[in-house]
Amino acid sequence: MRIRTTHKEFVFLNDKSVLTASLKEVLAYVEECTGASLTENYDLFFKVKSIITELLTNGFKHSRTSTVNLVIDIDKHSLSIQKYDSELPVTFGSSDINDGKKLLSYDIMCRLFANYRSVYDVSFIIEDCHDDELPEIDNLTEHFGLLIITKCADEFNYYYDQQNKVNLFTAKINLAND
Amino acid sequence: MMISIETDTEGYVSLKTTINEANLNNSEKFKAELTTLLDQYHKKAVLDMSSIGYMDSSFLGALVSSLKHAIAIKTDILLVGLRPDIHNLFTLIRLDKVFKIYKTLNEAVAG
Repeated sequence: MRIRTTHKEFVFLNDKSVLTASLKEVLAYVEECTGASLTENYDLFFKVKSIITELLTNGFKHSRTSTVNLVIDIDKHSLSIQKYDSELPVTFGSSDINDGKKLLSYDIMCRLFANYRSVYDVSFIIEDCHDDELPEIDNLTEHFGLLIITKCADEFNYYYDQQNKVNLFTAKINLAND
Repeated sequence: MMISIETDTEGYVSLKTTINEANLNNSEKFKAELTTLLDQYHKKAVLDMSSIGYMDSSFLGALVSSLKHAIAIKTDILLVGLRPDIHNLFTLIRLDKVFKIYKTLNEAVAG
C-alpha cells in the first residue's frame, strides 16, 4: 500500500437514509489515501466498512443531533476512525463494574466487556468462549453493534470530553501487516 | 414486500429476500414479515439472501430474533446464498454457529 499521512473530517446527516452514500464516500477516501484496493485488501475494507456502518448506525439509534462527525486519520502504522457527537455522556450496559470491567453482553459465544479506566474513559474488550457446545438460542444477544466494532478494530475506545462536552468513539486498525 | 415466496413443498418453504441493503431502515419490517411467514407456513424456511449486498447489526438482530421465534414454534430458518461480505459478518460474530448456512437451496434441503 502507498499510504499517505492524512486527516479528514466528514460531516454527515444523522439519518439512516444517507448511510450507504456516507459509507461509500469514506471508503473512497480510504482507498485513495492508503493506495489499497477493495479486492486486494479485502480484509482491511471489510473492517473499515463494518466499523463505519456500526458507528453511524449507533448514531441514528441513540443520538438526537442532526449531524454526525466522522474523523479519519491515516498514517503508515494505523487507520483511525473517530465518531463524535455532542450528546450527553454514554452509559454502557446495566451491570455493576467489577475489577474495572462491566459486562455488556454475554452468551455462549463470547463476552463483551467495557473496561473502565475512569468513568468517562472506556475501552472495549472481548473474551471468546469455547466452541464445545452450540449456543442456546434464547441466551443470544440481539445487539451486535459494539461487538462488531470491537472485533474489527485492534483498539476500540470511548471517551467523554468533559471540557467540550462531546462523546468520542475511536476505532483503530493497525496497518502494519495489511 | 421484502421476502418473496419461491416454492412451498411438504418439507419446507423456500423464501427469497428482495432487498439489497439490509439495515436499520428495514430490519423491523423484515422481522415482522419473516415471523408472519413462519407462523403462516409453520415449516422449515430456507431463506435465499443472495440479493443482500450490505447488512448491519440491526438486521442481524432481526434475523436472530426471527430464529428465536422459529425455534419457539418448532421450525427452523436455513440461510443460503450469502455473499462473501455477509458470510464474513456472520463468521466474525460467530453467528455461523447459530444459523444453518448453506451455499444453495439444494444443499440446504439435502443437509
